[in-house]
Amino acid sequence: MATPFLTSPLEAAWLHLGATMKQSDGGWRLPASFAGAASEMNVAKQAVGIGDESARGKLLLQGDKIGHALRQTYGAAPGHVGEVVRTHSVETALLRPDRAHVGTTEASHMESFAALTSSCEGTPLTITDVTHGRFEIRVVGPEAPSLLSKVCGLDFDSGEFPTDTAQLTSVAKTRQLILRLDMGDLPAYRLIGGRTLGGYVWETLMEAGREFGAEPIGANTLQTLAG
Amino acid sequence: MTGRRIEARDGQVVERGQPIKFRFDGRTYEGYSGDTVASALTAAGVSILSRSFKYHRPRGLLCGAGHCPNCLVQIGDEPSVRSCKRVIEEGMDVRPQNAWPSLDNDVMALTESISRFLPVGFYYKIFHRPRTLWPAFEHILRNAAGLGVIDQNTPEGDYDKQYLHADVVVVGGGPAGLSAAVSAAEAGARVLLIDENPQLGGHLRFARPDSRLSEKVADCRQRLEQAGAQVLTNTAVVGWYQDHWLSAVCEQRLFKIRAGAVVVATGAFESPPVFAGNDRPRVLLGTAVQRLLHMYGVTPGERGVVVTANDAGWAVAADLIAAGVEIAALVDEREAPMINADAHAVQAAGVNVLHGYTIGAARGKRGVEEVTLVPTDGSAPQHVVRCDFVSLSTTWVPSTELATMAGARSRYDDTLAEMQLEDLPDGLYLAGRVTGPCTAEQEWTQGAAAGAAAASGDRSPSTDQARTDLAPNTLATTDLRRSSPLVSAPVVGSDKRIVCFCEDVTDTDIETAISEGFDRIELLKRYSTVGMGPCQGRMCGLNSIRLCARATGHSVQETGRTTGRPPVTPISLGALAGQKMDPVQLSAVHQWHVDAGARLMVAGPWMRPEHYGDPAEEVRAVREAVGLIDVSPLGKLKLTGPGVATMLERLYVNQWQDLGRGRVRYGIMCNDEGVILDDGVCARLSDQEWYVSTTSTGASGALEWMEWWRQSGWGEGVHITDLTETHAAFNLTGPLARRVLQPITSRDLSHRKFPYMRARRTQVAGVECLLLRIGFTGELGYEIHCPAGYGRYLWETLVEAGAAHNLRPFGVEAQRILRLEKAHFIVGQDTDALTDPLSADAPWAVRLDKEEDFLGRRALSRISAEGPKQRLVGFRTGRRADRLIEGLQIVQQNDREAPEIIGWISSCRFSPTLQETLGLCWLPAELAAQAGATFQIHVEGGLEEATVHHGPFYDPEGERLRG
Repeated sequence: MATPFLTSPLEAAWLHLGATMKQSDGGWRLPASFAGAASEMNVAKQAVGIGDESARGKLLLQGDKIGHALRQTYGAAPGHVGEVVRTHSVETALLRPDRAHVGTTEASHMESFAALTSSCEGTPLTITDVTHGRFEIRVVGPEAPSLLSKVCGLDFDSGEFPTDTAQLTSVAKTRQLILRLDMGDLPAYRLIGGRTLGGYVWETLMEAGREFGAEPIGANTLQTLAG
Repeated sequence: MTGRRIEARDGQVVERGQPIKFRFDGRTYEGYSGDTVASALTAAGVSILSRSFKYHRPRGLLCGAGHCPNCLVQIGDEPSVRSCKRVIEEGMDVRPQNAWPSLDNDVMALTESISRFLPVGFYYKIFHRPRTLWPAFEHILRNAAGLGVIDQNTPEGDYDKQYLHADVVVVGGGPAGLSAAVSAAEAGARVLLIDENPQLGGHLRFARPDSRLSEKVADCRQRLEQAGAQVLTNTAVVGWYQDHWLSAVCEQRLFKIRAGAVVVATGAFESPPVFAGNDRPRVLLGTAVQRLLHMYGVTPGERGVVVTANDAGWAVAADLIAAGVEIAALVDEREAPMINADAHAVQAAGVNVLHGYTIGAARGKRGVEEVTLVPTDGSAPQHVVRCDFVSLSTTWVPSTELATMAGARSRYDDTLAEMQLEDLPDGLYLAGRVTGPCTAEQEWTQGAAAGAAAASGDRSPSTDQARTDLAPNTLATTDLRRSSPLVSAPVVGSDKRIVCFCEDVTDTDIETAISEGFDRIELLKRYSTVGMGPCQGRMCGLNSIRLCARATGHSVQETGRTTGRPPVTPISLGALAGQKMDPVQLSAVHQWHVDAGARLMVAGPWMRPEHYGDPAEEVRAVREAVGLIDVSPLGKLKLTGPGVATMLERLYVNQWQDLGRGRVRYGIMCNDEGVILDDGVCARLSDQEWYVSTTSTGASGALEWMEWWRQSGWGEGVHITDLTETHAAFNLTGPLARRVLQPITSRDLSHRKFPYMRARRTQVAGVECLLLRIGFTGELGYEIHCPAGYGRYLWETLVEAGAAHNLRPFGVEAQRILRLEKAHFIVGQDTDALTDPLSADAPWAVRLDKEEDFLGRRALSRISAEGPKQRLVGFRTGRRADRLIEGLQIVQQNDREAPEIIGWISSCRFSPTLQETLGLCWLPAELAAQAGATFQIHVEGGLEEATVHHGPFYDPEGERLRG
């Protein structure tokens, strides 16, 4: 029997674009690189890069006292709806008063899930690992707001949608969560939506971004950008 | 090129060093880079650019600004292109429209000779009898009038849209708009300046070049850039909607713009007066003449007559003289002599100037050959003057469309002889020529004040007052009156006096329509179609209102104006449709299906494999060996909390409190009228955790329904999580299913350890899965739910494990047949918006006696007491009957001639297992109750017989799925 592997919902799309593939320690097949690190870095810094981060852990926390559980687990929690708090390798976003999204690195995903589960034991909270049910696309670069303005009605101006905030919205007629998490000076967004629509959203973003010089970027470049 | 070009000067947009060849009406012409089709053709001496809509009268350049319909042409497969706006390209093929066989010799021009038989609204009165001939008449009439040809084979355009946001949107890039944008941007507001022209500057672009003003425009641009303002040129704002939501179009892109405040600096445009032959080629508006001269370096003719009622006409005359054009006469409606530099230039050139005169008629076959000049009061002699073009500068109309869409009211000012705006809505500001006549200095000042007020965002009364101060009634200067109060020129000759250039409506048509009772402006518009063409009333709006007022004896103010609606200017349907966004959901195994050659089908929001080549073979594989289907589209919900069982009791007609851990039960969800909404199986995984599946296409609806009731208080402590996309799901089914699955899982799959309708968590091939032992196909079956990321791996592993057992993947078509052999209904296929579970032959699922009240109980109790009138029941034919398809009607032959419809087929397939056509149908309850009773199905050309069947067709005892 083969070793279990995990596929991203965007795999067909990035293979079509000639990505070199690598398998992570956790078993995810990821696009390591498209056009080489230097070129991709240049795209991200000068125009807009689009990368697949679907392998990242995604947890959904539901209940009335989620702030307490988040603080207990991660030491901090968003204070109001739309706020994102970054602690170590975890980002928590409050989607509504009784619902939070927890994003983790691929490596810390299970550990984070376990820690949160432990914190919630005995409380009327529900934690669901939705990693497999969501795609996660990173859009990074100075032209990222322009690109997104072609597929989403939100105001992406930094004053209206600053870094470390999140919004539930419609992107290209699909329901998605957008987190703005700038990478240094570069505006950067995470688009998180239903897995089955991942391919469609990826291709729509690539098409919309063509005029802004959008190019796919691989996991290696994303890792470098993340510092 | 002919000698219509003047020397190159500052401000011209053409590149003389770059000649470009293009074709028009079958001939090749040459222009310069930057030329529009119309400017290049005018330079080449072409005067006729199009034919009119109804009478096919020759038409030439009139406004030069993209407002009127006179220069519409077809370019490639694009109809109704305004040739005065479209820049020429090498090899461009420009064709006239609405003319045959050629523009110069259009056969349909004969229509004008019978025009007295085609009065306004003629199509409401004639050609309607005999009634049978109307379609033929309609065909002829539609072909006789038209605006180009649509090529239905044209590929889809590359249209898209973009959302923009700004604190202040300034519409119009003229002096007032520029000034407003700079002022707002430098006050710290996020500014978006939009102009429909390729360059900023508004009327300065085509006015006499002035280096001081050019520098001022350049300075504004620089300041806008420094302040971070966004500037969109070539973009027309075409609509205003609630809360300053604007739509704008730039070529193939639609912008949707949210503005905090809007400064309307849309300026004003010229409109032609009403006189005989006012639509002849080479009758141009003064601004069109200026555009030709100053932007393209082209003269409209060699000897012209300038008709004016304001100072602008004198400026045009002076510019023409400076360009070396002879002015045969200048007529000014006003009596007072002009004293300014332009007047000096005109006098110095020895031009014949007539005060108190206007134009009465323009004559000529293919253009203007002579004009008759008439005194406005009829007290002086007429003059006939030979010329080859006429320049008109008599009336200015403010571009108020956006402001009126936003709710501003129009008021006719008799002194100024033009519409003024008042009662501006919050957040809307006016600046510049849209407010009325104003000096250049006033334009800059108004703009700055409007921009500052808009940027302040202050809606306090003081700001409102400031805004009112900017309104036209206080700023408009009577001394600067720019519009003629003359409704129409004195009648000269019998040529048509066109009011609406788009629809060929004359002043006589207007009077006729009013005499027929259409004496309100809105009625008049609908009956005569005045203002309903491509210019949307820009050329005829004011004239038609004034004519209506004169004919009815009302004032212009009492007559009012028609309602303006988006779009302000014509836009393509493609721009409205925008980018084709068609979200389609794909399962984790989609690429495998594609690679395996599956024929795909759209199923609700999903793309699914219909089959892999032979559905009948796929059915046989499931019945005889083992099959595997991707059922990932099934809705999958996780319900947690102490109140789940109670909530399910209320939402489903089944009983749930008694369902033990690890057990699975089929359930039907109804609304309060007892109508089936959805169905599926629910598994109780622990005391407080349930796994609920729904139909594939009903997943989002079921989730929404449950969430609605949960939030309404029925789900105490319940959390609902949608796992539809989180989990992939496969149904491994067939007599050999256990043999395939057992080797790759540690759990004992024997019937004793894992019986029918049970759920188990276990690892399959190293992946944590939830297994449901259920049997939609009627065979031993395991529904395997796994994290979607592992979907591809697990599917491939199952296929590999099943190879030794002849496992075959099967698609939706085989599944439909398999379930039909078991007589299972599909919600939405066999049920409709009125179907209840009692009628759908599922009374066993309805627990009217359960303790908890539930949605639909009252309705179902009544239906149960009265008995269903129609019932869903199986039918079989005993043969292959390929003519039977879903949707056919079941009929009963009575004594009457026509058979009575008594039911219909909801599902029907040939069963490869049973070798006969069978299905489900709706029949009267009495007939449905009689197993073996025969009935007739109406098919094309005859009847097919079928018999009523109760229960599953295949394995009625269910031994195989419990095996």
